[in-house]
Amino acid sequence: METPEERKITPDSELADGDWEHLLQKSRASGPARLKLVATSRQPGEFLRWAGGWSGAIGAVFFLLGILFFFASNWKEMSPELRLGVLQGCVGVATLSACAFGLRDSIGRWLLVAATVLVGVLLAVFGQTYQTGADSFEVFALWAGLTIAWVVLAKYVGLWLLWFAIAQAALSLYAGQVLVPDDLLTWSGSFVLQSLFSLAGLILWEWLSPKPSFSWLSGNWIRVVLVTTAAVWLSFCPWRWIFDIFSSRDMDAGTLIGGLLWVASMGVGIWFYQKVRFYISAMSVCLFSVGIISVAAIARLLIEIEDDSAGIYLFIGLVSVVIFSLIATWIIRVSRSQNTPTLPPTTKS
Amino acid sequence: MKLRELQEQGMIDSAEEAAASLNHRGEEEPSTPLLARVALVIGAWLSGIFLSFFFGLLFQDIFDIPPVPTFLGLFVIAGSLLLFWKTSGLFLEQLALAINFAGTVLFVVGTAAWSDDFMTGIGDEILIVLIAVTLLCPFVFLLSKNPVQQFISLGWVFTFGWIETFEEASTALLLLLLTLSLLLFLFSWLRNGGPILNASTKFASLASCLAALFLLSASIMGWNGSFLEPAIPIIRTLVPLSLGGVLIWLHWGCDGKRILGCVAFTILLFAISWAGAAGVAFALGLMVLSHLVGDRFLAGLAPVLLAGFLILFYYFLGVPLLTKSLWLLGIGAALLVNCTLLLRVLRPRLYPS
Repeated sequence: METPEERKITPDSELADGDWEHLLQKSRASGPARLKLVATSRQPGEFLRWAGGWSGAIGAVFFLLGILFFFASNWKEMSPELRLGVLQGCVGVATLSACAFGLRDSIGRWLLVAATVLVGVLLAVFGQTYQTGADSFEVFALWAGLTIAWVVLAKYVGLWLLWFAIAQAALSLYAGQVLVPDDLLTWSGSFVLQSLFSLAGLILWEWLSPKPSFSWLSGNWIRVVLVTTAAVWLSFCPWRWIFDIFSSRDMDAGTLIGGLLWVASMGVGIWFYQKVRFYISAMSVCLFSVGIISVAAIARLLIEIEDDSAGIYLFIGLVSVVIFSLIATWIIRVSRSQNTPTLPPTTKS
Repeated sequence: MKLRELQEQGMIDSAEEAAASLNHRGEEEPSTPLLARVALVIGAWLSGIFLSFFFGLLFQDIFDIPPVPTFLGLFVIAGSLLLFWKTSGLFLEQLALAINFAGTVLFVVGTAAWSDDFMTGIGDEILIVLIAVTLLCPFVFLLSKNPVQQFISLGWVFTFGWIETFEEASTALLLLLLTLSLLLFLFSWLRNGGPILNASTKFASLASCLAALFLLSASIMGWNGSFLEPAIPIIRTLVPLSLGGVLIWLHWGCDGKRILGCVAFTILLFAISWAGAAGVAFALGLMVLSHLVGDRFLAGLAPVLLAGFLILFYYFLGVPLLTKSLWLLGIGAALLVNCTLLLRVLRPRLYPS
């Protein structure tokens, strides 16, 4: 059989499906000629299928929103029992429907995500109705605690990521509402704690996702989300040093530990995603973090020395050019040496 | 279908060229990885910000004389245009953009100071700056080779147009901006036919059009509603006519049924626009147009716009939530019926195979 590589196209050969894509991309046709070319490339009746599909999607969204608004408009008139009853009913219906569809089915999984979100809404409404006086971290912690069983049972990466975000929010609120006000930790210490939590999530994911029994966790987009989250939390201490406490030269232990943790994590991240488990997007996130914080630190240092000299700003501009050109060169070199696309497809096993 | 037939029907220029292009696909030089491009863009813009400070400090002694920053800004903008013309490469392109941005900031600051010093009788610096950036915009738009620079030049006009609407009622100016943006958009479609080619002008025009429609949404939100009143009927007419006009033009020469379909769709857009949802009509028209000409960028953008304008429209509709819910239920049911009709009745009947 003739392979696509061997196929030689002449003006009189029949066009295959894959040829149209390239032809449309390179075509210089405009106006009615373009319209005709696009229409010829498609199946007959394609426009009706497209219009029908969109009409159905928008119609379904409108209809569901209509139901939601209908309840919302009567919310005040509802008794607390009815409100909680409606929400509990929704949680119950969503969970039972998820079980009926099956927890491995995509509709079932989305229903479980809906049920997880509704548990949070239920807790918030409960707290508002009965004025429990609970701190908001308790709501998030309870939310994470109540839904962890679903995450384990469903084996669905979207739900796992949602749970991780809820847990991180609970920890963040706990730090802001208890640890820092009670002098158990400084702000820098709380940033270190949250950085460690997000790093733990990333390490756990990197350890489990290649295992066949955890194949449901795989997906490179999750890696990018987790690396970016960790890089953002890790960068809080260096930012704090650059903007808050640089001039006093009085760096507290938390900021120092946070700064060192950022340096170590970025170094390990660049090495790990370049040499051990090649993934250029994750490596680039670490490089960007290094580049931006380095420019900010150099700028802060130089402006501290002389803030009204035009030459200083010209120099900082040149430094940023050099740093980011080096980063671009690094990415290009690594990308070409590996001969792999910048954003490789998911390595789902 | 063969390439020769496509050429005979006027859909491609040369069957031989198209065949050669198809045979050599995938042999192009590998482009710079996206993330390396992002790094270059960040570097260029960071250096652009520091360059702005450099210019500011370098000329701070003569900055008190108002024409200086104005003319210095013009000089820097001209430099950035020249950089686009004379150089190539992503980094220099981005640096030129950053320099252009710095130049426009200088120009705006200088013009505001100038109007404050010498035109105190007028008493409206924002209006003077708006007029200045409006006068500057066509020059940058026409002379620039870069879509982002074109977009930024229009963005300045709309930013100050937006600020001005808060300051004082200037209906005539607003009307002019709205009409200009829709005409630019229309001109762009007619010149390029809406395909991938010359996406720059199309993108810039689209951005201006969106800004115009967003300005119009101010009337829905009730900001200085009264002074926008005269603009509303014009926009409600211009939106469906411009998009419907392009649709009919694209189908010119097709059979009567298709033209009739386009006219019916234009009437539908007209009805939606006059029902108070000009933004929704615009997004719907754009969805259909971009799908028909196979423009992926706009086809992806249009549903996002549709969602945005729908939310804006419903949020500020000014009717009780219960009425809104009944409207949503009614329209939702009608659209679901329409979906069934199109997919289960009309499509099988027209295309039995």
